[in-house]
Amino acid sequence: MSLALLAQAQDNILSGYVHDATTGSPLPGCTLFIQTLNKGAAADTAGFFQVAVPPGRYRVVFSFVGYKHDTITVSIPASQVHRITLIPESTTLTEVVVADKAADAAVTQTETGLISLQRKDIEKLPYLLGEVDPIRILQLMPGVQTSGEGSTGFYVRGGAVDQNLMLLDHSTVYNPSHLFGFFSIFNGTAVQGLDMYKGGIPSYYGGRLSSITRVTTRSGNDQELKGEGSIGLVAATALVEGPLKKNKGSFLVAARRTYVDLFARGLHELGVLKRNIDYYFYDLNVNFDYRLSRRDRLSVRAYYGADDFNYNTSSSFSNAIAWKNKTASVAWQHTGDRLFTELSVQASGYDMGFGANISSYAFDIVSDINDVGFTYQFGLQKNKHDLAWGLTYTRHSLRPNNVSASSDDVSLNVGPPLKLKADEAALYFNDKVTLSERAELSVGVRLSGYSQLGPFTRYIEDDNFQILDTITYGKHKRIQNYANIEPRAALRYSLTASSSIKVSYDKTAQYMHMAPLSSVSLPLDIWVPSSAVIKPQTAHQFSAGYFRNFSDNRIETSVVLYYKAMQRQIEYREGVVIGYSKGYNFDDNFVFGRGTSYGSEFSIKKPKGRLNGQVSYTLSHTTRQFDDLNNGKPFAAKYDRLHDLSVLGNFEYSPRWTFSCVFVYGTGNALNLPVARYVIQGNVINEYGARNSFRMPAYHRLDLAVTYAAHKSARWESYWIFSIYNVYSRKNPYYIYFETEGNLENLELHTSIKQVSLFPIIPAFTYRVKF
Amino acid sequence: MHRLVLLILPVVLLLACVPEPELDQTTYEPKLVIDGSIESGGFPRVVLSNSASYFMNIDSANIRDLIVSTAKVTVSDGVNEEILTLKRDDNFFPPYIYQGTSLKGETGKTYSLTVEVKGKRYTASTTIPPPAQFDKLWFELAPGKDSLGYVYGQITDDAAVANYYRVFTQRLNEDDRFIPVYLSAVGDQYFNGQQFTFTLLRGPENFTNVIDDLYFKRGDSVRVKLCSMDRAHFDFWRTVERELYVVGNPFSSSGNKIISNIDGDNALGVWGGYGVSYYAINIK
Repeated sequence: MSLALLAQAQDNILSGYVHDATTGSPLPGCTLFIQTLNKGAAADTAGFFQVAVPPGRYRVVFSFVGYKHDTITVSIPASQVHRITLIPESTTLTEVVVADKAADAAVTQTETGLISLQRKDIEKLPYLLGEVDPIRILQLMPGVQTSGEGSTGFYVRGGAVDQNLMLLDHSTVYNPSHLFGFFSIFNGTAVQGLDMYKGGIPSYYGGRLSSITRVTTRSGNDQELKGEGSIGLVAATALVEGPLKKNKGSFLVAARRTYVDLFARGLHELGVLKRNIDYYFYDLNVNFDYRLSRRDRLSVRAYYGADDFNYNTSSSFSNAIAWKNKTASVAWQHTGDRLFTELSVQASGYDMGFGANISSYAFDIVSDINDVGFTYQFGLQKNKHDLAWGLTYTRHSLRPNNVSASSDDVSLNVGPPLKLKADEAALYFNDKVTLSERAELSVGVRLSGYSQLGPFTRYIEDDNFQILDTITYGKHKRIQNYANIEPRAALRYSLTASSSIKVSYDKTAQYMHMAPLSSVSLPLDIWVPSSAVIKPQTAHQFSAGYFRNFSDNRIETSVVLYYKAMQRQIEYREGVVIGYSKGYNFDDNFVFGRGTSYGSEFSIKKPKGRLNGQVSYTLSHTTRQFDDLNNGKPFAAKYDRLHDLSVLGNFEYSPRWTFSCVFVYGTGNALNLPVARYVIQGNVINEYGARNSFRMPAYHRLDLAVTYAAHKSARWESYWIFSIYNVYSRKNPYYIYFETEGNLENLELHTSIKQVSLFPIIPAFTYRVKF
Repeated sequence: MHRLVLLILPVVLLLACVPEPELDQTTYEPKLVIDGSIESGGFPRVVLSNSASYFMNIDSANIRDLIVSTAKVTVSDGVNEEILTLKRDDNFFPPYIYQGTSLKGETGKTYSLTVEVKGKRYTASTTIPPPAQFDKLWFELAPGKDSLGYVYGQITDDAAVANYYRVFTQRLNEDDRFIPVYLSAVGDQYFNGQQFTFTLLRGPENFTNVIDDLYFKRGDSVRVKLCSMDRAHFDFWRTVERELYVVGNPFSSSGNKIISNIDGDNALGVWGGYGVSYYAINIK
């Protein structure tokens, strides 16, 4: 290897950043091409590019859809990092869904399971109550299934919701939901784009089994002060951005708040509303970017968001749920002559409180999770190699389900408060190597390690729930250590200029877990760390796909097959109620087993043109097998979904009018319901059959939106967006239960199946302005 | 803590309900349900019935399908054996009870049950552990109430063995039988070898008609039955009560297997021995 590297050591690096000339925003996916070398590269999410070239003088062409080409001449070796600015083409200045990458990227990128979306992909679609939400569009992608109405959670290739890592810039987000999951915490106006890996995951990402999603927020305009605002049915959003110092630094502040509670209070006082709706959420993004030198950039990202819900039926009864997410990161990027480095320090926190009062009795459940950590990543391009390596470390602190209860002034003993600590770290190395003109290989390995830390008390119980022994661990004591070697590989082989075959293998490991308690996804679901009882989840995934573009890359098609085997999956024991069933140890309520998922994903996409859109269809099957559930027999996972179809389309009728639509169809969730009942001492008792042997009715829904550009000029733009969610008012099942009426004494018993549905047809208006 | 369920439900029920969705119905083969017990100092009693598919609505026409009145029911203590006789009791559903008249339950003995019906044979076995005693039993007004309150009973748990308790109450002139209190089945895993105070929350007669007050009131004459059980017997009632409290609750984990101690194909229910102590409290 050293010889090979030495032989190429004469190569030098051409590197720089590419920006939008009017806003200063980076242009990720912008391509550069050096004709004489027949060599190209694409900019990353920060707009950063680098390419290894031999010494010489070259003409370099930068191009990006929606922008005018730019050509520069450079001499290599070059001592500087280039700053390229591209001017938007005026005819396509606004609101065209732009391809975020090279036209043939679907065929030529080696990452089999990478989904990349930019802000303009996100803004156009119809949304629930008009709120732009990047997670909603992610849920329409092949292999990604929404976990149901009212949830920002999703299932990727048969993986549970907790197996998706959500990153907001550099920080982990543990519950990316607002309003019980109807909206995500990602404010559409501040988002630059998102990348999701569901297979062929590079080794610099890890910590979750099934997918990695990174939402990046954009840097502010470093040329002039700009603003943006929107007023919708439920929320108002405002964004201000501008230079801290022209061409040097910028800021961006975005805020959003719902105002249902403000209206509701008034209506309630007037007697129009019977019950007050005391609910709101808000969030705030603050971003700073600064170029310390031509080679050094500093970016600061902070997010704070909270939900607050109070429910009172009478003076003697009240209920409150509140949850908060906060993240922050500081990243320093340095571009050396050859080496690109990024050091980031990040923190994130999520906490949830649930409280209830009934007359004199009160109780509270508090859960939280806090992370601090750093990542130091290196990148180097060496002729045919694109190397990345680094290390990352996170300290987790958690308090899962700490319950306190009181009756009048007497506090009830429900166990001591629990605080858990754990360390998670990884070393990784990845090399993307061009094997030939046709073949590219991305290969890497991630060495991940985990320790549960004291102080901690473990209770040893026998089958009769008697405590046999108590083991107490002191502060900082390493209680339980785990390590995994996670090899990753992805290979792309181009058959022709417009078709390729890709295969990938991923081994992934996960040390933090969240088991969903019920069929309803709620903020009450808690995260727990690995321990002596909860062992890390691991997965092996194989995928293979055929990618083919037609009509000069105007139509992209693909078929991808995958098989995923998952070990040590986590579920709740049967019959657990939060705050009601508590063992001595925090991990007493869980059981563990295996999961298997396989399927095929079909996709047809027309990325450009006046009519553009995508049709995705996934055929899959997901099962689980647990010794302690269903008599040890395999059962369908709750989210086993045979058919999953998504259609999204945009039609630009004229520069002023754009129409868009979304249609989704999915097989109903598998459901556990009783099959029979019997009478014991006057009580009617349910008998359950095989686990998850029922199916909810299928989920389907059509949404439409019309965007009218009311005003467009160099100074300001304004839009009216009219959207209809659930056009034909399908009553999709949210929750299903049985209700028994009647009385055995009267020899009558009638059972009915009840379904709770959330959203009928919901029309919404949004007014958006940019200046 | 069962109140949690009642407290949380309204949050979800805020959301609109729609009429019955269509679900695929599976065929269901009814199972034999055994509800049998033997108390120290008492005769064995066994009630037999069939389970019914969830999609079968029960009315006076088809309710006979649920009644099993042609079984041969035998109880044995290993030495003596008695075939129970069928008696009608219209106060109860099902309105037939198989009862003994000679074999009485004794502390420390093991009793086996054999049920033969329609050519099939079901067996079970249980023990009668030594009865437990309340150290004291008293009534306290609930905070802010002037006539309603709870009954408390204090026991001293035996540290040497695993103990499983079940508590029933009966208000004279009001309840026609002993009714289990809320969370009536309790194991000593949280208080092994310690003094423990049971809060006796008055239970509903049955869970199809749940009462909303858990109080006893001034003027009530309450009989209290404190029982001890073996592990298998306890597991049945523990899982039954769990199911009764959580059914339909979206905040509980799904699936709830009730642990039966009956051996035989397609059987449900329990055969359980109780070591019993009786108490009475007149609330003034």
